[in-house]
Amino acid sequence: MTTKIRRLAATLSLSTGIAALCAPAMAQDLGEPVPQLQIAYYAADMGPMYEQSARVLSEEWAKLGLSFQMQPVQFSSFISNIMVGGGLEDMAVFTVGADPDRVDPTYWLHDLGACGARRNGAKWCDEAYTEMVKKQRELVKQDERLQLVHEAQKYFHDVAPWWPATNTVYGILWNSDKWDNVTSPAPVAAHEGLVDPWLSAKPKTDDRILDWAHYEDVTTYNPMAEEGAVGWVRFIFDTFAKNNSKGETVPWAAAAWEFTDPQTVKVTLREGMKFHDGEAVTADDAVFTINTVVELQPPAMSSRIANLAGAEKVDDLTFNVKLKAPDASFITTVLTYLFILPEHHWANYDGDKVARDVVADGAVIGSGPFKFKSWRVNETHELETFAEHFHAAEYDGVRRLALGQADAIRSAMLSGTGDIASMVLPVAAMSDLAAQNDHLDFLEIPSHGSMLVWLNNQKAPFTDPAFRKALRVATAKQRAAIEGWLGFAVPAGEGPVPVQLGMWHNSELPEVPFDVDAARKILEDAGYGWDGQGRLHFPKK
Amino acid sequence: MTQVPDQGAIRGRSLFSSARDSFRLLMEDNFAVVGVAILAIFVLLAIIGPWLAPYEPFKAMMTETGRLNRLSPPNATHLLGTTAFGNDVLSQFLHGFRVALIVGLVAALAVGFISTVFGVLSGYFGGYVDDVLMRLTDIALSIPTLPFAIVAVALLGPSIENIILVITILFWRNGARIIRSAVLTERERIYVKWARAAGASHFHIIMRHILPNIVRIVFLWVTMSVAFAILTEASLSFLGLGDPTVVSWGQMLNTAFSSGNLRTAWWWVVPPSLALVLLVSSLYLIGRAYEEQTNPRLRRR
Amino acid sequence: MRAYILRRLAQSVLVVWAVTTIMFFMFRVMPADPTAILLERGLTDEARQALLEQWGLTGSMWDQYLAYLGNLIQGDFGSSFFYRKPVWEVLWPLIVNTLWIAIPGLLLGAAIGAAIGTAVGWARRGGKLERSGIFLATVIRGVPNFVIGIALLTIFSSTLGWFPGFGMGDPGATTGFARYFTLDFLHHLALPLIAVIIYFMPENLLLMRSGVVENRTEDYIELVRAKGVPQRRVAWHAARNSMLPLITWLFPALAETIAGIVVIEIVFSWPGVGRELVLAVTRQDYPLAQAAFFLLAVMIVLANLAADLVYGKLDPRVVYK
Repeated sequence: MTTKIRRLAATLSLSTGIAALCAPAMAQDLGEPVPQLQIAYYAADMGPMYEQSARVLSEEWAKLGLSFQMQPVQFSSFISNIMVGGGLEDMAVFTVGADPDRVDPTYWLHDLGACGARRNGAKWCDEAYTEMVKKQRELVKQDERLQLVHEAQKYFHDVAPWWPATNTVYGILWNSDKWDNVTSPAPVAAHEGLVDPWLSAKPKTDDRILDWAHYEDVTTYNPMAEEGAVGWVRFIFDTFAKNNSKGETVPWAAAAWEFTDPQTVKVTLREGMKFHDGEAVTADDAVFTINTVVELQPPAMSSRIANLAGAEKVDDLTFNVKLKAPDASFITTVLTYLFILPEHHWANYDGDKVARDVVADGAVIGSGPFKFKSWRVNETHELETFAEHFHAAEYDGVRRLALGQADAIRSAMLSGTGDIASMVLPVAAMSDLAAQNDHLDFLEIPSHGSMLVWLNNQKAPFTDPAFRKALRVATAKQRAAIEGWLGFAVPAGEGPVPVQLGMWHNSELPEVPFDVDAARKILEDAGYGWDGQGRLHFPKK
Repeated sequence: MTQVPDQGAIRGRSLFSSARDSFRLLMEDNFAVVGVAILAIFVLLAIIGPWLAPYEPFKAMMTETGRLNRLSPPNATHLLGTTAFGNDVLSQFLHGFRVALIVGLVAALAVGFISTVFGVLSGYFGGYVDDVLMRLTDIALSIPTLPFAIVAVALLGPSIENIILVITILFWRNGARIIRSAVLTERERIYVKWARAAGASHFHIIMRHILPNIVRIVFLWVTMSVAFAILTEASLSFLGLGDPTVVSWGQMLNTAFSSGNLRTAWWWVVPPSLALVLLVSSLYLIGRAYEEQTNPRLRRR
Repeated sequence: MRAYILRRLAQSVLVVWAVTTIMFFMFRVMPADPTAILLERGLTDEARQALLEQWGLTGSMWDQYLAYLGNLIQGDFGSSFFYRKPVWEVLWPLIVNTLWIAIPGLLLGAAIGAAIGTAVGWARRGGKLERSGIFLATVIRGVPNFVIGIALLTIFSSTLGWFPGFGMGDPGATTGFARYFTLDFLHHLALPLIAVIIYFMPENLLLMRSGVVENRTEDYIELVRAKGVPQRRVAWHAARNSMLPLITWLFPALAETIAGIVVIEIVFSWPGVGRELVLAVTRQDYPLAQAAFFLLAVMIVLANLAADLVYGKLDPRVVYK
C-alpha cells in the first residue's frame, strides 16, 4: 500500500524535476523503457536499518527515471538464494559483517568478485581480474602482495560491478561506575569480535564478574562444531594469534611464525602455557588438533581449513604447518582462528569428535584466559578467569546473559545487572543511554562491516558499464548512513576493499561524489533518454 | 410447542429481517452502544486517516542542522513526536487504523463464511459429512494458534495477504463447532419438521429457517473473529513477522521494542497500544451483547 | 465407559499424528536453508552436503518423513541444528520454566476470576457492581498480552523499580533445582505471572458470571433461599453449580494459554518453550521448532481428552456412547 504511494510520489516529483532539467527526448529516439527493478534487502528481522537504507537509496535512484520494487528477503534465503545461489534478480542492498577474517583483502577482492567464487552473487566475471586476485593470495612477500592488491582495486573500481555504500559503526556501552578500562583492546581482543568484552577491564567495586548483556545463546562449547568465526568459545580455547583493533596480527598462543617456504609455516608456541586441568600445552597438542581437523573436515570449519594439508612436530614448542597451496592470508585468517585442543582429552574419544557434547563430558578444557563454569540454556553462560593464563584478566570471570531482545538489554544496563552491552541494542540507543545516564559510557567502534550495492552483472541494464556508473554516482551514501543507520555508519570509501583495512585499501582511487545530475549526464551520454513521464529508456539499437 | 402449523411458520423468516431484529436488540444494550460508537470512529479514521497524516509514514524527519530528528517528544510540528528512525508517530499511527480494520474485516468475513458453511453442512446433514468435518476440526483445534501463525507466516513470507490467510485457517474451526451445535438445535425444532413435511427443499429450510435463527451466533462469531484477527496480526507484527511495507500498530510497537525504546518513548508506545485496546474492547463489548442475546437465560427478566 | 475412553484415546493419537504430519511438511517446504550462516562464511559444497546428511535432510521427502516418524515413536526428537545436541535436552528445562508461569497463572487467574465473577453474577441485575464488573472485564479482555507486559514493565520495573525488568534470576544466583525456591526467583516470577493472570482472568470472570446468573433463578436456589440460608451461602450454591463449565473449559484453556504465553515470555525475556520456539523458527532450527510445536499440540490434545472425561465424571447426565 505505502510502496504504491511512495512510487506515486516519486514519479510526481520526478516529472516536474525533469521538465525543468531538459526537454524530454522524442519518443522515437528512444529504445525500450527500462523495466521496474527489484531491490532485495534483508527483511526487518535483521533490524530496520536495511529497509530504511534500501528505501533511501532507491529514492535517489528513482530520480534517474527508474522505478523499484522493494523485496525484503529473510537472511537465510538471501544467503542461499542470492549470495551463493546466483539468484540475484536485479539489485541488492545488504550488509556483510565485520568478521575478523575479513581484515584480509582476499574476502573483498576474491570471494565477492572472482569468476566462480562461491559468494560472488553479483555474477560478474572477468578473467584478467580473477587471475590478479588469485595471484595476490599466493604472494607471501607483503610488499609484492600489497602492490597487486592495489592494482586489482583500481581495475575493479574502473569497471564498477558493485560498490559499497556504508561502513558500519559498532558501539560499546558500559557501566563506568563499576568498571575501568573496559574498552581498551590491549593486549588484544581475547575474543575475536571488535566489540566483545576485552581482557584489560578493571573492576572498581567488589563485583568482580563482568556481565555482558547479550542477545542470544551460544550454540555449543565444542570448537569443532561451532558455527561462527566470532565465537565466545575462543575465550576458553586459545588461538595461535589474534588480530588487534588496528588489524595487525599479533602473537597469542604462538610466540612467532614464519613462512619457511610458500607452503610451510613454522610456528613456535609460547613457553609455559597450561590447560585448565593443569597439563602443559605442547606442540603435540597443536599438531594433534590440526591433523584432527584436517582428517575430520568439520563442516563448520570448512572454509578456513580447506587449504590445510597437515602439521608435524619439530620440537616440544615448535611445529610446521603444511599448506596445499601458497596462501598469504593464512596468517590473518587461519592462525587467528585455529585453536588448541588438549590431546589427552580427545585422542581416546571414540565417538564422533565433531558431534561430541563436551559440556556433558566435562571436556570443555582449553588453555584460554577463561575456564568454563556453567551454561543455562538461553539464559546465562558463566566463565571463570584462568589465573595461570599469560594474559589473565584482573577480574574473576565473565558472564554472558542471553536476553533475547533489545529492551531487556537496555533494562539490564540501566539497573546495573549488565556491565557491558555491544550488540542488538542499536548503536544510536546506546549513545542515547550514555548521554542520559551518568553511570553509563559509550564508545563508537568503526568497523570494516559494509553495506554493499550489488547488481546482476549478467542482465541488462546492468551489463552496461555506463548504467552501473550512473547508479554509483547516484548512490546516496550519506543519506543511507544518516537515515538508514541513524548516523552510526560512515559513507564507504571507493573500491571493494574497506578503508578500515588500512594499508590494504587503495587510497589513490578517484572519489565518486554523489551527484544525481552527473548521473543523468552519464546516462544521456551513453544514449539513454527519458520519455514524457520521465521514465528512463534504453538507447535506441 | 403444540400449535397447529401455520403458513408463516413454514415460510420462515428472511435473513435480512432477522439481522435487523438482531441489531435492534443489540442497540438496547448500553455497552454495545459504546462499542458501536467507538468502532464507528475507528472506521471513519480508517477511511480518512491516511489523508489526515501530515507526513509520509516512513519519511525521515531532519532537524535544521541536518541531523535526524529522532525520538523527539510531542511538539507543535510532530504532535505525537518522532520514532527512533525520525518518522512521524502521528502519521504512522493514522495509517495503522486502515491496516487494523482491513485485516480484521477481511479475515473475519472469510472466517465467518467458512465457519457458517462448515457448521451448517455438518449440523444440518449430519452423517458422514458431519463425521469428516468434525474430525477435521478436531485436528485444527489441536493446533496451538500463535505458534502455528508464527511458523506459517515465516513459511509463506510476511505480507498482509498471508497474515489474513493464516488467521482464516486458524479461526474457522471454533466457529464451525459453535455454529454446528446451534444448527443441531434448530434442526430439531418442530417448524423445521413441518416445513420438511410441507415439501420445502433443504436449501429453503437452511435459508429460511436455520440461518435466520442462528444469525446472531454467526454475528457473534464474526465480531469475535474481527477481534481475534486484529489481536493475532498485532502479536505477529509485534514479534517481527508483520508486513514490512505497511505500518500497523503491532509493527510500530515492534520497532519500539527492537530499538530498545519500549519503556521510555511513551509518545511512540501509548497511541498504538491504546488504539488496539479500544478497538478490541469495543468489539468484545458488542460481542458480549450478542452473547446475552443468544443465551436467553442471561437476558434480564 | 472403557470403550469410550479407548475410542477417544485412539482418536487423540490420530489427531496428534495429523498435526505432526502437517508440521513436518510445513517445515520442509520452508524456503529457508539451515546452512545459511555457514554459507555466508564460505562453507564449501562438499561440507554442506555432509552437514545436510548429518541432519537427515537428504533423500526424498517421504524417506525423511518416515525416518522422522520412526524416531518420534521411539521418543527421539532428533538433534537441534543450532545447539548441536538432542532437542529433548534443550527443551525440558525450558518446559519447566514455562510451566512455572503457566500453571500458577492459570489457577490464580481462574480462582480470582471465579470469585469476582460470582460476586458480579450475584449482584443486583443492572446495578453498579454488575455493570462496572462486566465492563471492566470486557475491556481488560481486549488488552493484547504484550501490552499488559509493556505496561507492567514500564510501571513496576522501569518507573518504580520494584521488580527486575527481565529474566528468571539474577546472574550468578542459585543454580539447579534449588533456584526455584529462592526469593530471587519469586521476585523475577512476579511480573510475568501477574501478566498471565491479567491475561487469563477476564474470560473466567465472564464465564462464571454467566453461570451464576443462569443458576440463581433455578428452583433449587429458590429452595435454599426459602430455607433461610444466609445470602453468602446461597451464592456459594449457585457458584458451585456454575463451576462445571468453568472446569471443563480450563483444560483446553491451559493448553492455549501455554501457547499464548509465547509473547509474554518474549516481553519478559523468560527462558521458556515459547520464546525458544520463536527463536528456533527464525534460526531455521526445524528439529527444535518441530519438537516444541509437537509438545504444545500434545498438551492441547491431552487437555481436550481430560476435559471430556472430567465432564463425564462431574456431570452424571452425560452418557458415554
